[in-house]
Amino acid sequence: MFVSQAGSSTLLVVDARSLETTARIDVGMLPHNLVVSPDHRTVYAALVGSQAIAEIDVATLSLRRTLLTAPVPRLRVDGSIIQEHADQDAFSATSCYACHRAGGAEPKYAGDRPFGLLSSQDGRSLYVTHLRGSRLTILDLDSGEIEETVSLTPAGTASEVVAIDRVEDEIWVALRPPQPSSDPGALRRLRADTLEPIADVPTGSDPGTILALPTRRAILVSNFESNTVTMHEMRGGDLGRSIAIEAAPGPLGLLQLDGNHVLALDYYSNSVSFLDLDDSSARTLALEHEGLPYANPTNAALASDGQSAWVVSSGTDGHLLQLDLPSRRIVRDVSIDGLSFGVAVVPGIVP
Amino acid sequence: MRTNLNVAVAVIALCTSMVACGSGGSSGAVGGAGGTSAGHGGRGGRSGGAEGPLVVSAQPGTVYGIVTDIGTGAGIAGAEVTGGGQTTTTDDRGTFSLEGLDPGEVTLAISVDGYAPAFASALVGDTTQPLLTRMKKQGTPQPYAADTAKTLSEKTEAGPYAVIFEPDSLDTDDTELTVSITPLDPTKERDALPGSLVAGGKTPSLLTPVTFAEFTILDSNGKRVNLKSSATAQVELPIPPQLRAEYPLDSKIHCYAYDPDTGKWEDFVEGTVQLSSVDGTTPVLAASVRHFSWYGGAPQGNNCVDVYVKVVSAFDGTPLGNARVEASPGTTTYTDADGNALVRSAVGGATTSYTAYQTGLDVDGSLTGMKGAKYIEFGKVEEDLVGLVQKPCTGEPSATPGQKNVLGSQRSPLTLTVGRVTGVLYLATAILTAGDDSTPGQVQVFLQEGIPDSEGTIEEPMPTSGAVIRFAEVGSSEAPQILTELVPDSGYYTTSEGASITPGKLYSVSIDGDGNGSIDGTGTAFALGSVEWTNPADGDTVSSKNFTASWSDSGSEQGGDAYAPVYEAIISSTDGTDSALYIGTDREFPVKSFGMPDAPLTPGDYTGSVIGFSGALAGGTLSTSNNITGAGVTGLFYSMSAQSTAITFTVK
Repeated sequence: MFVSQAGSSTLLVVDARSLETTARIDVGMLPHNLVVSPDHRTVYAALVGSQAIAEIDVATLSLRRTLLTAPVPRLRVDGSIIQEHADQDAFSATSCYACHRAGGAEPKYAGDRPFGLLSSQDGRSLYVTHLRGSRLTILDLDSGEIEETVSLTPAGTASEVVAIDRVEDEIWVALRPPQPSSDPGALRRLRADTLEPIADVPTGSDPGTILALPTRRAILVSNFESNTVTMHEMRGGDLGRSIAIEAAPGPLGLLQLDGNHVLALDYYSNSVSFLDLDDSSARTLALEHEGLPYANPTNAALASDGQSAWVVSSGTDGHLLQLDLPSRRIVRDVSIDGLSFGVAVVPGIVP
Repeated sequence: MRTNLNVAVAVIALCTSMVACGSGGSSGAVGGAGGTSAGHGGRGGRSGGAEGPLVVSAQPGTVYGIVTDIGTGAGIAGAEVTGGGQTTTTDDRGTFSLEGLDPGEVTLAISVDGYAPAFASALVGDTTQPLLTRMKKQGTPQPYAADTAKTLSEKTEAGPYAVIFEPDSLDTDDTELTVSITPLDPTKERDALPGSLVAGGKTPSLLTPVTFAEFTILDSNGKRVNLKSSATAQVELPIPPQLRAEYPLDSKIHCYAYDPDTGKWEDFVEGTVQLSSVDGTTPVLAASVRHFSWYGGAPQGNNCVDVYVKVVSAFDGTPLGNARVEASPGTTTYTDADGNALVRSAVGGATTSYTAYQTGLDVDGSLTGMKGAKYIEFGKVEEDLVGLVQKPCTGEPSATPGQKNVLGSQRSPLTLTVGRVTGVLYLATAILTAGDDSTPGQVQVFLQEGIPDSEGTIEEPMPTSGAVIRFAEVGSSEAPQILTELVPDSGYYTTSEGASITPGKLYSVSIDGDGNGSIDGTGTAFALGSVEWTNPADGDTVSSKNFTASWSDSGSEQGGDAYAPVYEAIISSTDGTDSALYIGTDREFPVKSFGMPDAPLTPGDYTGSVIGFSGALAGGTLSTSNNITGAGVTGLFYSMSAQSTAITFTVK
């Protein structure tokens, strides 16, 4: 299991059977979302504070390389030259982490916050959203270079591109206004081949995650501020029904369990909700184990056998919790760093 | 470099049974809470007889604590303390004891009318664990009808703290609600924050406090009300003036809410620095909240130092084992049997304070006057530690290779002297006046004392004579000056021949109220410079359109980013029909008709005056925070500019 430990700039690798830590990989500032390559040989982590993606070699459990998601700037926003970048040959860097870090150059967190990740179906490209900058970057994973940058017109004040996923021949991205805000956000449908916009779908002011459900021909969005998870169904090339399911306060991450069930990670209520997509119902389970509460779940990943889910409790004390799905109980707890965020399970690793 | 030392000790006696006294006295054990070693140590070796009366209390499963007012330092009587399945109430001196607790960390909730709710954690172990909890007086209750949209605010010298309600967002049908916003400026009152500001887990990382508040909403029955599970509210917390350069507009600051269930700061979200929606000028941290509690901004620390401390008795210099040591902002730990501990503190912002305290039993009564009295004693130092190797704030505190002979290093630990004072409370008012080419500067301190009542108030304070008051420039290698009492028994202390006080520099006072060698409290303030109008000039005629008034401050060049006085500028028409007012840290403001943010001044003749304040701003309609703090001492330390030369000008 790979856990992005945002607070300590590392990925933690944990053996799911022994629960032993097998590696702790220093990657860069604020690692958040994780995505596994289709061949399971690589894990990518969005380094929100280092303007880069960390590429982890699953075989060796090491950082293979970092990939910049935007060129290193020569000028500040006021037009003045960033002399330090010239002096230190920052333009050859593949991450801002070498200089911008705790105790290093200011600002500690550099860049415009790469956040959402989507692997192309052939595994040769990586789509990256940016919280700031209203854009989508496509990385060529063969060369490690930026293949294309797509600017996204804000939807009203919603300019931060939070999340991304693919459903059929469309790519959907979620846009939100800079927080805090009560202005509406939007889901933007893009043609997968050209990234041309198709239409916007209104949503709440703080969409958290979008999750494609190919077998249902639908896409889910967690509305962090309105405590709902909304399922948007596709009908041919058009949008069909939109069904809102009430979750517990603060739904953030979404994990598909099977064709009809999704797990919502309810950040603000220290719980998870089992969503039944057939009858639009939700059953909420408080995150507790042996009498102890666990705070702020963010994301989860399905175990290799599909019988349990690994849930990140991202409180100031971090925990990786094994949620047994048949019994819907927390059965194991692994201590991780506080303020962790994402988790990915890569089957079949033998360290 | 060591800049000031603040040691204060309180002994709070509580007579206990002789069985308990005998147990503590005979064992003399020092517990191993927090991983410290068990066995003899601390004061166990000098119990009774000629070696002194002090014995470490060794009751397992016991927390013995005191609840004090962060503003006055006085104990708070009648506070309800709940934790570990038990509830008790503080006595007249603010002390309490919970016994028979299960080993491990216990979180206590403390509540009393008139104060914001407080929370504290202790590690229950083999010996009595000390716990000092500071409470903050609650903000002014304000009426609120839950079916309306409304912004409520509490104004302080840092700016307005605000909560913005949407209609029907609260989980109640009651229509008679009261809302209290309790501001907390971490540059002055960090110790009243509940819990530890640490992102923990396997690799703990320090958080550095920026701005905080507690929000209490009560229904007509006094029951606490919170947001509906589906609702949010927006809060705005002003950035303290001396941190504004570090957190400019549009900065993102990590925000947390205190969770009494876990005893930790949780619900991490990002807030944004923007201008206050209340006054339009103060930079505030704006964030959405889902649950009203203690709330605030605390980014991860960039740089930390690991500090070795040694806790010793003021009585005879004996090292004290099992003393609780708190760095603020920083970590909490316990001393080993030799009185040593290693704590981590974040660098930057305000100075760092280190507090130590411990429980004990007065076996023969020679310390407290009561045989078998249980007591807490504590000491505090504020240090501007220089020379320690800075490191990332992630991970456990650890020895730093190559770091020798610097105060706070392993070879030269920072000494926390724990002595004792009586129940006397000292009240200080200290005024700092910068000098210029022709006139020396001056610092004046008026010190009074008395026994506080149950409200923490001294009805008839008496001037304090015989105090030792030191005055120093923070960061200077110059030895502190000792102030002299102007007239015997007057309580007025000053420098005998003036002082070199430079506008814009930071100065400290440390107060030893009874002159026994242990310092009871300290405070810091910047020396204000000379404030003069730059626009308009005397006699000018200005257009009401786009009229921006401005002034200069001779302290700004020397003071740098941290120098952030609060200015009050008043512009009044000579016929009394129009005016403009500014209170804030900028040195200019767009002049609009008072109370009409979009209306220019009415044409006519006007006068203008401006004055600056630094430190604790007293008076007016603002909430103030005492900035001389310690154990048993409280007060105001401030500097103000001379009133600028009044100008007259014409608006057309």
